[in-house]
Amino acid sequence: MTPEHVITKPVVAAVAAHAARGVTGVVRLEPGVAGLVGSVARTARQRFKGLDPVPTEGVRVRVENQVWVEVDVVTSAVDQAVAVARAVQRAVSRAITDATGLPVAAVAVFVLDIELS
Amino acid sequence: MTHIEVVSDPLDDVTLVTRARDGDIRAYETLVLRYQGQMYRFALRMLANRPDAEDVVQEVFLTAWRRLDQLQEGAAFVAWLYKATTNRCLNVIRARKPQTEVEPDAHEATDPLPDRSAEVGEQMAALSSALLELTDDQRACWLLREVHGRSYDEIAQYIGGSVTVVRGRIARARVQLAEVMAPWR
Amino acid sequence: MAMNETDQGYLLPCGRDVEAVWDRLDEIDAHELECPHCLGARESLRALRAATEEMAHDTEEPSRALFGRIMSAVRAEVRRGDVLPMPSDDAGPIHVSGRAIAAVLRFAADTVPGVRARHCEVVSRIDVIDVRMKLAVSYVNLSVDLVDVVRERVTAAAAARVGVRVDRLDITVEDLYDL
Repeated sequence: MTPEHVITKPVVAAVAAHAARGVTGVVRLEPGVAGLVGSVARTARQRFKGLDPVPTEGVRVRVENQVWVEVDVVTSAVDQAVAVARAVQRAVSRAITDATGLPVAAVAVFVLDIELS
Repeated sequence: MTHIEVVSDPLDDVTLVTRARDGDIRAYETLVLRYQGQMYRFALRMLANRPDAEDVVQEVFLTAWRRLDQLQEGAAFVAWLYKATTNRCLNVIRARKPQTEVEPDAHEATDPLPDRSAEVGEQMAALSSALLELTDDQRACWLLREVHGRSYDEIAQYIGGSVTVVRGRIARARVQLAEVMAPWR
Repeated sequence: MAMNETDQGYLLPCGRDVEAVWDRLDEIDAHELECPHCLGARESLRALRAATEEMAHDTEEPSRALFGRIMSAVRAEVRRGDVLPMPSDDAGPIHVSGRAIAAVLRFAADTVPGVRARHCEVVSRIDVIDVRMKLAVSYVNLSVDLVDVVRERVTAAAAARVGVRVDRLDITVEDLYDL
């Protein structure tokens, strides 16, 4: 019998968030729908089919036999936004596999703002 | 060390609305900061419940953002906010009603003086409670006119009624409130 | 309550309309000086007026968190409608906010003396972007080369700050801001 090994979505999301924040050029993760209240949050939630918001701001994950991740970041204009996004993909993917053993299918990155100052 | 602050003229609503319509979030932030307080105070007097009032204000400003395109002129922004806040408050009150019938205790959710030590004036306290005895429509019209200084014409547009109706509601509200303020001879 | 509601309004027993008393609270006429109904009404209405003024000067603000919630919701809206696909590989899709790109490009145009970028529209064709930008320029700085300088700065900013190549860049000078 194979021992069961369960890793919850909040854990995966927290690992992803931590990895993304550590990437040079990432200013912050953008607060996601988890922080919203009332019907605003309800409408926002309906938009993510199959991706449950977890209480980690700016990260949404789906965990099956592999992991899908969406990360919302704000980058600094000092770095190329697309290059930062690629680095986020690599860092998040590596961190999740290292920490949980789960293979990562894809990391979608949304650069929601580029800070100019 | 002295700080020299460069004080620039605050941008007018038309400029801010135009920029916000083009997706400028910072311009919209300025508009939210400029008007959220007065919408909140209006909603709070309507609903007598802080979380409900904040929910209304949040939805009003999110909806306003979505509808910036439909706003004919930037100058109409405040009027639009008042109209939307009025209607949302009335909807919230209507949604509460069935609950109060089933469960008399639900009345406790509203409080004429939500733990506000600053509101010391006895007259003001009396007015706050008396406001909640008015009908919702009367309260809305009276607050918009007497506390927020909107014109009869504007209020008529907000509630989708005539100026005569608005005048009538405010007159009735005034009589009712004045009676509470001091014994009517 | 000693008062009659009529089509005209609310009449005191003496026949005076409450609205009429309200409209001239700061004046008083011979009748009102004598009439107990009017005096009583005036007293109550004055108290109401004072309390109303106090209420109008209420400065209670919503919680600080409200502003954050409103702006988070607005940003969430913006991003869903507005993100543009960028060049990406097997690792997963990359999107960048079109509004954020427009802000970067406007900022680059603004660095040219005498130029103020106004409307800026960005369309993604995945590997490249197309940009339409409108400018207000200073009459003093207006020259044949001006638009070319803007073009260079905008193209360079797209490469350096976003990491995408501008394929087509339409620039319209729509206004002279100092005339």
